[in-house]
Amino acid sequence: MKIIQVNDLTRDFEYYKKAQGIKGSIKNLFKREKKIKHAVKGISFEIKEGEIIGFLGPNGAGKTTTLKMLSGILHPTSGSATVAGYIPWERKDEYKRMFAFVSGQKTQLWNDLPAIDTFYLNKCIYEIPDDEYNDILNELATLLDVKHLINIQVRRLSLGEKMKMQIIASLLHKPSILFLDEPTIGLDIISQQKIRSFIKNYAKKQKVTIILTSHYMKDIEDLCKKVIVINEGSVVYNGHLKDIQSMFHMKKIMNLVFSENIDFEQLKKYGSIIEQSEFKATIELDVKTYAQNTTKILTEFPVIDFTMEEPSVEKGILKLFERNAGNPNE
Amino acid sequence: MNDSFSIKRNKYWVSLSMGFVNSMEYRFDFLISLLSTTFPIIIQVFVWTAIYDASTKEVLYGHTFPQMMVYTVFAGAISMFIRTGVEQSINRDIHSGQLSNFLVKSIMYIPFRIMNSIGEKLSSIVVMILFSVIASIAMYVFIGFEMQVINIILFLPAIVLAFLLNFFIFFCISTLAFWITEASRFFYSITIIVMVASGGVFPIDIFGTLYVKVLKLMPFMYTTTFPIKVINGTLSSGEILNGFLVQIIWIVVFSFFATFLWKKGSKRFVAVGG
Repeated sequence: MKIIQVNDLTRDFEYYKKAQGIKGSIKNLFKREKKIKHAVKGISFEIKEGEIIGFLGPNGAGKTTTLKMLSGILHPTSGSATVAGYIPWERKDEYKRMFAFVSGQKTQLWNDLPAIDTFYLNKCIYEIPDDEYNDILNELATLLDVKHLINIQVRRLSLGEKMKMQIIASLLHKPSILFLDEPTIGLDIISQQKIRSFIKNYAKKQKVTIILTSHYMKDIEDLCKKVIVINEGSVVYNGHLKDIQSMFHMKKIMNLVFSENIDFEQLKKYGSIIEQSEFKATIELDVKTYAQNTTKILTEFPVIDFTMEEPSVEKGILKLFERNAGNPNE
Repeated sequence: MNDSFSIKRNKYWVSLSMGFVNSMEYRFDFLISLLSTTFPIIIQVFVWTAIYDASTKEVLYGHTFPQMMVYTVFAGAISMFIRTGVEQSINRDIHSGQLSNFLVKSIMYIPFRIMNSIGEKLSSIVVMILFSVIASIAMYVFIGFEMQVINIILFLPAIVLAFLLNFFIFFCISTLAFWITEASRFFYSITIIVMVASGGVFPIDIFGTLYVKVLKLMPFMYTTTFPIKVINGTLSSGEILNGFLVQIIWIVVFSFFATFLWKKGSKRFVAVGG
């Protein structure tokens, strides 16, 4: 069953340009140059109930703007959308009780109060009975390992802890649709992983529909089978992740440090060298053979240290663009 | 399901208590804010004492010195009581994009803000009541000011209606933040203008009869001047009832206006950041 339907959704923003410095500011007081930014340009897609969809795209692509329209925060400039039969920006109370919007950048927690106060306010807002509230809160706080922190003023918590509290506050009313806007932004690798695995388990257990935005490829790969890639306000790709995964993973980047000088010609057998200097090299490896080649490099050369890197999401999107330019119907 | 009906668990009641708890979170700031609510009144008392001392006339602007003292004390207390600062909270919510968090939740913003504002100023309301009682006793002792019980009783609805009216006036003004990106300084100046027009600084008679006529057609004096006149006994019971009616009409007008502007404005909301 289709739960989210989006047709030709568009959102423009007006803004003013300001030249640098005092001169620009004074000029601006009298005459401003009005500009229009097309944040979302006529996007359409459908999402089935229970799916976890990844919204992938660089900063400013229109991911958050789309989510804000689907959660009713923003009115679109044109186009239509329905979520579970509701038009989001009509802001019907029944609709609001069905979903939760979790933003990695804008907290719903009261900064000067402990998180438990925000939880209690949400309990009252959504009229959750006492027993149910205690059970859910207990379960979520245990799963996310923050039980000992719920009585501490929010502003004293770390970024990762705040994010966990935000997630708890958003899930208390058991929403069936979740909009997760960059839930792992700015977090360290371990916190990212914890939040990711929590979302994964939660989705499996509760059968919720999730739209997740992120510009970390890892988030999307771990959680979503399907992705919608957007760039500059338009949908670049909509389909299964595995079909485009190769775009994002054609190459792996390996940084190497050696104990002595090596013959770089020998190293070239395994991939193309991006950078080389005394005792150091950065090499691009093909994803298909990189496991074997990595072992070979590690045994054949006097390696004392190495790191592996993923190419950035932006590069993958660029490749998608190139492919689409060649075959626009795809 | 019984507990969802209990008042204590009502979402708007909890908004009130959260405002109260939030205002007490920083003890030093809390204490100073309580003390500072009485400063402007004390300053006014000194100013008027000096003016009457320097003047050769008994009556200035239609008020004798004792009447002016009574007016000043109550004007100060009432303006403190009715001022919610809601315009700053709303401006902050809109400007920072924090409003998003309210728009997605199953809670209405206007009642939430009323209750939260009451909660945030609950402590200063208590201080103002204590101050008024002490000041009334002092005025009785020093200048022979007497209050009628009936006036005290009638004062209660007058002040509650004044609070609501003032809330909705400022709510309407604050929706301007949807159209103007940064409006906090504008709100500071408008607060002062409204306070003067309400009679919260000195009696509006000072401006002369023409201005008084104009001001009477506006809602502002019903937030401050009217409750003062109820408690100091200058109005007849008919005038008081009439005043209540005008207060209620203005509240209805402004609450409709507030809802209308809110709907219009929140369509324009751009939810900056994140």
